[in-house]
Amino acid sequence: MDIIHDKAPRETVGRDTMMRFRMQFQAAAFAALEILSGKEVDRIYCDYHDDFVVRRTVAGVVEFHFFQVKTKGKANQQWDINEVFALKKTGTLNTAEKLEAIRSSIAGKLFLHTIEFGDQCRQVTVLSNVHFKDEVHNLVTDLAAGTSSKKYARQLIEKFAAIVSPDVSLSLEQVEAARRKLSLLPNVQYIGDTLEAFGVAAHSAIWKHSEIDLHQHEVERIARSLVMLVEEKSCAPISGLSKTGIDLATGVGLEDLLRVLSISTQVYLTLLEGGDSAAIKTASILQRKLKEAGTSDAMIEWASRAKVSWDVWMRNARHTFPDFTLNVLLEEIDKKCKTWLLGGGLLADLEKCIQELLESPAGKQFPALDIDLLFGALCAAIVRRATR
Amino acid sequence: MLFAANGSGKSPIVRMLASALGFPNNFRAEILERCNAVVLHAESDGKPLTIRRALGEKNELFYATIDFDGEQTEYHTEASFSAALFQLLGLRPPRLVSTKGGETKPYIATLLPLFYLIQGHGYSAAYRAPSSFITDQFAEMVRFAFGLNPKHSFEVKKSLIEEKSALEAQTRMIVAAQRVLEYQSRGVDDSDANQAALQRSCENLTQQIDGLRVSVDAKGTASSALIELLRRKDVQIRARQLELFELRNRVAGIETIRAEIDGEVKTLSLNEEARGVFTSFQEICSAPNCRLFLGSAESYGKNLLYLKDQIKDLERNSQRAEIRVEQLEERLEELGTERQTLVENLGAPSTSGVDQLVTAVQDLTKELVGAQGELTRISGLKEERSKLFKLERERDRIQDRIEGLTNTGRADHAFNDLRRKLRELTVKWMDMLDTTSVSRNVDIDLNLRFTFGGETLETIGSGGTSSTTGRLVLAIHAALLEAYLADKTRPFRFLILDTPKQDELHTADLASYLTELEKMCEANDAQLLFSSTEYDHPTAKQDKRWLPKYRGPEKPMYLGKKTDLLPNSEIGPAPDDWA
Repeated sequence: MDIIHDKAPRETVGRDTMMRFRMQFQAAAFAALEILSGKEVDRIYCDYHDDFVVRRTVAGVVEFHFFQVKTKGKANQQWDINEVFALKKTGTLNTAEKLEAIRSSIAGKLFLHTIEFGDQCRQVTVLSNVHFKDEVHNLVTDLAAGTSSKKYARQLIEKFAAIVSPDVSLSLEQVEAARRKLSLLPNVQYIGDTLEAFGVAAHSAIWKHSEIDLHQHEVERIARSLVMLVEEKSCAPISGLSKTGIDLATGVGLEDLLRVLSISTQVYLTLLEGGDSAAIKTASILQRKLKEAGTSDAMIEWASRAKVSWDVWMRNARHTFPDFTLNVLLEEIDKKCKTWLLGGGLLADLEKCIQELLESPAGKQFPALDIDLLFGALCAAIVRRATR
Repeated sequence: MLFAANGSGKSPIVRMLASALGFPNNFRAEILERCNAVVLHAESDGKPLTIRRALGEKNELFYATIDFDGEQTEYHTEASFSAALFQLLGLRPPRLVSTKGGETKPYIATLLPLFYLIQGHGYSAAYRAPSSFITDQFAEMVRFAFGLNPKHSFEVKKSLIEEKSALEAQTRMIVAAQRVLEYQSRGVDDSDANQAALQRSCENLTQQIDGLRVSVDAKGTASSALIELLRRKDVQIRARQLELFELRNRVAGIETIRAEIDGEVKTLSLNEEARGVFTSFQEICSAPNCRLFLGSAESYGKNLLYLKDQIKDLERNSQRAEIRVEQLEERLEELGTERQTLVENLGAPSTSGVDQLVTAVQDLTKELVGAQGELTRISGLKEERSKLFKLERERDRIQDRIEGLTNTGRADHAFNDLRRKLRELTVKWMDMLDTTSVSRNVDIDLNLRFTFGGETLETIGSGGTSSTTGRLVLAIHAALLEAYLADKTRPFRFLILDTPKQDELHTADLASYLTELEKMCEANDAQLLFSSTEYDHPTAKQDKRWLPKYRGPEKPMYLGKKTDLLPNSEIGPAPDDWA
């Protein structure tokens, strides 16, 4: 009985790895939310060059911020110098192997970015769910200062150029600039083995950038979509892609975020320019659209009533009519809506559209359709388009 | 021709000529100290013209007098002098736009550089004025000289500004009027049919009231009037009740729909959750994009947005319906009490005929007043609407005017002709000066910037001056002059060349250039004035040679004391009679 539990499993690394990845995605997703503020950050690269990379555009100059996400299972564990830098506190840094070990440590790999990307690399950061020991913090400070009271730190500073760039000799300024770029981000609470912590941390950003009032569980679902978006981007194959292709495949940009959030691009832009969020949250898309077009209140009411009755009809129709027939009709309506919008969107033209829909073969399949319902259908199509 | 060695004072002489024409003074202290005034004798329309420009202690001071046609006028500023001289020459200076956007006028100082090349930097650019304060100064001055409309007329700009602010004001008025209209039209049915119906009921009510007055059997008429009123009240009450019933039904329906949508939102969440679970087990289906959840291709957030948007529509509709229900209930209550009073009045035996009469008249009047009030509102609304229409028409007119004003200068045939002609002439004079290494593909843009095969004068001169830029400037000015002289009535019939740089120009080229210029001036009744140090241009009978007449320390000088006058004279008379 239960022999599967009695024997110790040969390996459980896979589970751990999955969870670590999930935390990395959460950290990247949280960083991506900063794109929404519409300021410097404009793209997050997932699992490209590093765990994730934040791209900032400051006054037309592009800068990158590289992140390594390192997690530990137990919250009371701490990172020490050996883990982060692969640096021994005793002995001298005299062999090539020792230097190579530092080069391939967590911090060493990050330092390579500072050399490879030069001025474009703004900062490199080790992000973790647990704390770093004081010695790690001190070492980072000493590296920035360039002097230290500890022997091992002095050695590291001395050999820094040889570690990060063994083949090419660097100028003094380059070495100094590279040394200063490392930073630590300990005890990050928004990553964890469940999504709850992330959902809570992302709550305000999601809620703020939403066109509708959301319940807590809805916020959580959207937060999950965000993490999944990052996951998708991290797994997308990139071999043989062009530069822009890679940007799209690995990077999370504004358009990706807006696809996941419950906000239309139009409204996002309005809010960014300082639109009244309360007004947007109460008025529906159709009301806003018609109001902008200068339609009278009575007409708006009628239109929204027509749309509601279409939605109601639709809710029943999808159970009673075959999917295929219904989809043909919906496609026809969407096509008409598109041509109508492209044609300038005059209300007078709408009547023609409705008439054509009534007489189309797709429309003839549904004897219940009348002018009011189809008008509602077109309104619904307009709203659907606007939610994108 | 002024012909003398370097340092004998040719330039001051040429400058004095310009100074007499109102050009800003720029003399050295020695001259300011020793000279009192410069006097120019000229001729305009065959009448003698004498300009006397005083030379003060400083270059900045301005005082000049003009003697013309027996009258002497005096001027203390460059502006008034310029204006007077332009007027005298029959030119009407346009109001132009300054570089700061204000109003300004052409000055002698801005116009004269077309006909006067200052020694040195005058040969480095097509147009070099002492100060530049007019927008597109070169183009404007050429337009002015050639009698064309200004490019940036201040009047046009000013009226454009006025029209634009008028447009803005008009738009504001329209918005305000729209708001008033929207407010007034709330709850008013202003259709013609309704208006007619109201009018009929007004007439009807008036008739009834009149009937009561003239009736013999006051009590009978009054009670029948009351019964009639009662019947009408009942009809009204029934109609309102029906409406109320429908509205309540609708509100109830909205609740049901809302519940349905909420259910759908829940389904969506479940679907999303299921999708999350399934995708996390990638082992189940390892095929990428297996589309098991095709329906969720559009994201959860967007679907949620659409569904909740429906709720917003519903909420708004139900709010409006509820307000309407309230209004209807109130009105029903009012109608009910009115009906009650009518019933009481009719039914009670104790009520006298007079009471009934009073009530009937009261109610009839009330209805009449109500109907008339409604009519007034409708006519007010119509008035407002026609006002809005008028405002919109006025806005269209303003827009047309702005359109018209901004279009000026676009179809500018005369100026385009001039540019074409200048292009041909410039090439002709470039050949005359044997200008090598410069493309003959001359292009002149709307601001009269000359480019030669795409290169500007500045790039050809590589920032400074070279013999090539010198040649090109000479060619451009010759071309300008030739085009200018084509009209015999234009007043500025001269070209002043202050020491064209001989050291950078082959003497042979200069000679042929000057000869051609001379020929052209002779043919067109114009004068050419130039100074030279090395090149001695042959002079004919009608030409004047002005050589230095005063004894100087080393060489003869142009200016000096009377006592230093050189005795021998191969000296021509003063060359200052020209128009």
